[in-house]
Amino acid sequence: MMLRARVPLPIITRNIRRGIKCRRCHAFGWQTIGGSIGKCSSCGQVESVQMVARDYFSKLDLLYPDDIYKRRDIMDHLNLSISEYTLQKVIRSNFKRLGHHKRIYFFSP
Amino acid sequence: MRNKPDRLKVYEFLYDRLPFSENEVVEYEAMQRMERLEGQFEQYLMKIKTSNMLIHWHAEVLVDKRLEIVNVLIVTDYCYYLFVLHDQEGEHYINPFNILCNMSHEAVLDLNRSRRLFDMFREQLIDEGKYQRPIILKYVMMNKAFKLKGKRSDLFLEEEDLPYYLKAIEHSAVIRKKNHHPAST
Repeated sequence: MMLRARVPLPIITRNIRRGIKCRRCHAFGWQTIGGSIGKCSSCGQVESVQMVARDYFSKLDLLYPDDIYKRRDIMDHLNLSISEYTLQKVIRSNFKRLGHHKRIYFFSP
Repeated sequence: MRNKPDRLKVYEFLYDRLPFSENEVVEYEAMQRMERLEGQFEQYLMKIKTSNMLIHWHAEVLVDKRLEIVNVLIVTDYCYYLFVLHDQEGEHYINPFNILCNMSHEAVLDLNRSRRLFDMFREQLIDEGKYQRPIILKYVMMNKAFKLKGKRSDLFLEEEDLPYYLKAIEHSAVIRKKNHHPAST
C-alpha cells in the first residue's frame, strides 16, 4: 500500500491555533495537573486528558476525515506536558495503526 | 438522546482558533441559540414517556430557496408533529398580512411560510395505505415573557402550555395503540 505523503494539514496553513481548549469556557489555558488529568486555568474545570484528547481529535476528524498522524503530530496537537505513559494511553484508546506502520496512526476511538 | 449538530461541533472547535467572518459569527450564535432551545425542549420531553414516538432533531429543509429549521419532529403512530422553536420576548401581535411583529412594529416571523413548510412536509410524509397521518406544525415560544396580543393563532404554543401538550401527545399515542392492538386473551 502506498503511504499518503505527509503534507501539512490545511488547518495549519489557515493558521488555526492548535492545543486543547476548555470544553466549558473555550479558553486555551488547559494544563495537566497530575498524571492524566488537567484543569482549565480560567474556569477550573477538571477533566481527564484522555477525554479532552478524544474530544479534540473527534472534532478535528470532522474537519479532516481520515487524516493520518505521526506520534509527533499528536503531541503537537495536544501541546501538553504529559508523560510517555499517558501519551501511550491516549494513542491506544483513540488511534489505530495504519497498516503495519509502527508510528503512523489514524483516528479511530 | 439528542446529538449536537456536527456543524456546531466544528464551529465550537474553531472558535478562538480561527478568526470568524461576520456571517460565521452570526451563524455560530444562531446555532448556539438553537442548541440551547433544543436542550430546553428536551428537558420537557424527558418528563414524558417517548417509547411510542420517534423523535428527530434539528431538520433543515429548503422551502422556496430559503432554509427553514424544524427543530423537533415527533412521529407517533397517528400523527406527525413539527415543532419550530423560537425565543421571542415581550409583546407581539399578528398584522393583517399574517406576519408576527413586535411592539416596535418590526416583522419577526412570516406566518405565511408555515403554510409552505406544511405543504412541503405533506408532499414528503406520505403513508402507505388509506390512512394518512395528519401533520401538525407548532411554533413553540420558549420564553415565558412572550405575549401575543390581539388576533390569536393556533400555530403558537407557549412554553407554559408545552408540558400539557406533550403529555397529550404521549397519552394519545398510547391510547390509540391500545385500540389498534387489542390484548389477546
